[in-house]
Amino acid sequence: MTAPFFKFGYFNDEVSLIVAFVIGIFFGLVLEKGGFGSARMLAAQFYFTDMRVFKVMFTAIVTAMIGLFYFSWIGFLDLSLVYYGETFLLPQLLGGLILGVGFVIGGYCPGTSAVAISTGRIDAIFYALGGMFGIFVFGEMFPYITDFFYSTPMGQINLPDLLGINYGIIMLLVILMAIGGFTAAEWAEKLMAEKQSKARG
Amino acid sequence: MLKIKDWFSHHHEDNAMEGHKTQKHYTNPYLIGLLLGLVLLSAFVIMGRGLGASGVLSTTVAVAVDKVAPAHAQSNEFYKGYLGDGTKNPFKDWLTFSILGAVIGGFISGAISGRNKIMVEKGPRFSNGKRFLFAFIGGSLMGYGAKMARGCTSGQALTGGSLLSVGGWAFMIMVFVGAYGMAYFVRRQWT
Amino acid sequence: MLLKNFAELPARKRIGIVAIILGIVSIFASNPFSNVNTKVNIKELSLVSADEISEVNVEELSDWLIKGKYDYRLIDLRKDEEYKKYHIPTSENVTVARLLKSDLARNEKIILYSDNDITSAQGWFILKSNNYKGVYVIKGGIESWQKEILFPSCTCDENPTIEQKHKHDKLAEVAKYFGGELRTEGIIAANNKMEMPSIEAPATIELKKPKGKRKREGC
Repeated sequence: MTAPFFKFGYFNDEVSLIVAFVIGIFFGLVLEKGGFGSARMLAAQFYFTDMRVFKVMFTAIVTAMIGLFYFSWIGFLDLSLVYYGETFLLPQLLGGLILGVGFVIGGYCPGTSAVAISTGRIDAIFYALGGMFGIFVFGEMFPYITDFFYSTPMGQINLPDLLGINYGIIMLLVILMAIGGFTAAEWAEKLMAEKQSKARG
Repeated sequence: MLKIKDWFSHHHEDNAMEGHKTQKHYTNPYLIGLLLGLVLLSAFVIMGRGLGASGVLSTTVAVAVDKVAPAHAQSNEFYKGYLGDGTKNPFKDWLTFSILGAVIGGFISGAISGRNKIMVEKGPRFSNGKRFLFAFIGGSLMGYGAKMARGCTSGQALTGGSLLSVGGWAFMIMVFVGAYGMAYFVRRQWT
Repeated sequence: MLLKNFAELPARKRIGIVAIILGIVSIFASNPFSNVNTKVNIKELSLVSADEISEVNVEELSDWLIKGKYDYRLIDLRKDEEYKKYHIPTSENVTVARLLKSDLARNEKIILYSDNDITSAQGWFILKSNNYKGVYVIKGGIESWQKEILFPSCTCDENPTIEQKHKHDKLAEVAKYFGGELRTEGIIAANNKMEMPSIEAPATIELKKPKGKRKREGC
């Protein structure tokens, strides 16, 4: 086991910031290439006209998921050292819902707004200001919603543990689901394109 | 023989999007998704953690509150989490530097593809002022929701999703529920 | 040929097919989380002799604590009950059995102590053989903390030199800081017990232990 490199002490905190910067550059490059810098492209998911962002996102999840699994399997990566957040089910369900509503109204999410700002989208600046305002409101409300914020704790748990099903089977299901989703997305795009050309006459 | 170049070829055409004709074409989404997955994977392998974006905004807010009302910020567990113990600059963090990189990376990619342009992203029937208002409202909801859920699209959906985290997947499903549920009501903004 | 047909497919189909194949293969692999190296590397262990264990002595530790230096994590390896009765300020309780399951990171400086050197050495070996880099052991453990820091004995003559007096005062100050006292001959005669200060009500201990010291990794 040699990875994650940082957690095995191959480099210190200072170097990790440089690593963060470099990985960030690639992150930005790929996001922009993926079309995440355009609010219209992002919002198009929710009208089935262009499912590009959906496709990029799920391909990325599947790729990283398979990569993690196989790196761990060959003994290269210690998966227990890879951080992921604890689950607090109710606040996360509600937070996701609020974020989803904000997504289609605002047209970005925090990461994509960074890319949108750097490629000159003025609305993304308003979006980021709004984001900070929302976080400020959350911060001010925090003392009153602390109980809810920590409710339904499930610890650091993944789907195979929760369902008691083999990790590989869950992975295969996610892969099949993604491919099914992609097929449906292609089909929806075609359908919407036909509808639009018909409407135009 | 299989050639690498062949793998990255462009058999599949993207659907050109209405109102998108001013912009250059994007490349194959599955290929870009593969690359995004590899970037994420490299973060896991090198650092043992995924990517996150909303953390920078939170740090900024926490630092601003701390500047204006230090006692208030110190008494709030949420702000304190982002301010740390005061021994180091809260911005000297993985999340800040990765987003700084993302800003630069986005600019580079936009420049290469000729998509860097000062403009407002909206549908043709929507005014700029209204778009700015909607962006602000949407951003606020997003900020609030991201903190409630302990992460945003990058932190929860991408990172948590690829680690098969229960919270990550629950979050992701609700994002789609919220967005598809709301889409009808704001359709004038985009179409 | 199959390979040729495969090459002619659009990129998305090729990616999809590869993903499905990898997914199917993964079913036959074990749970990646159970693949974690909780076993001790015996070969490496046998090569390390006891005097290679990096040690920290209690004076150094007390100095760091007073100065508020917290670039390490102090781990108490004893049982829960013992930890609850008394522990060195700022320490965390992790028994040897739980060491590898704890949230200790390999890039942290870890200082271990126990009530005997064998347990500490055990902890040290376990962490070291699992690639933890900076692992240290407190020489003499809790006992030497008790004897040398909390209740140091006075070794001065009847007419102490300035140097001796200075040392004497420092020992007394440090002991008081952590809730103990310097034992002069009079005290030893009167009461030979070295009772640990109560951890619930530390009279003079006002250590600024940083809250939320664990680095946040989420967004």
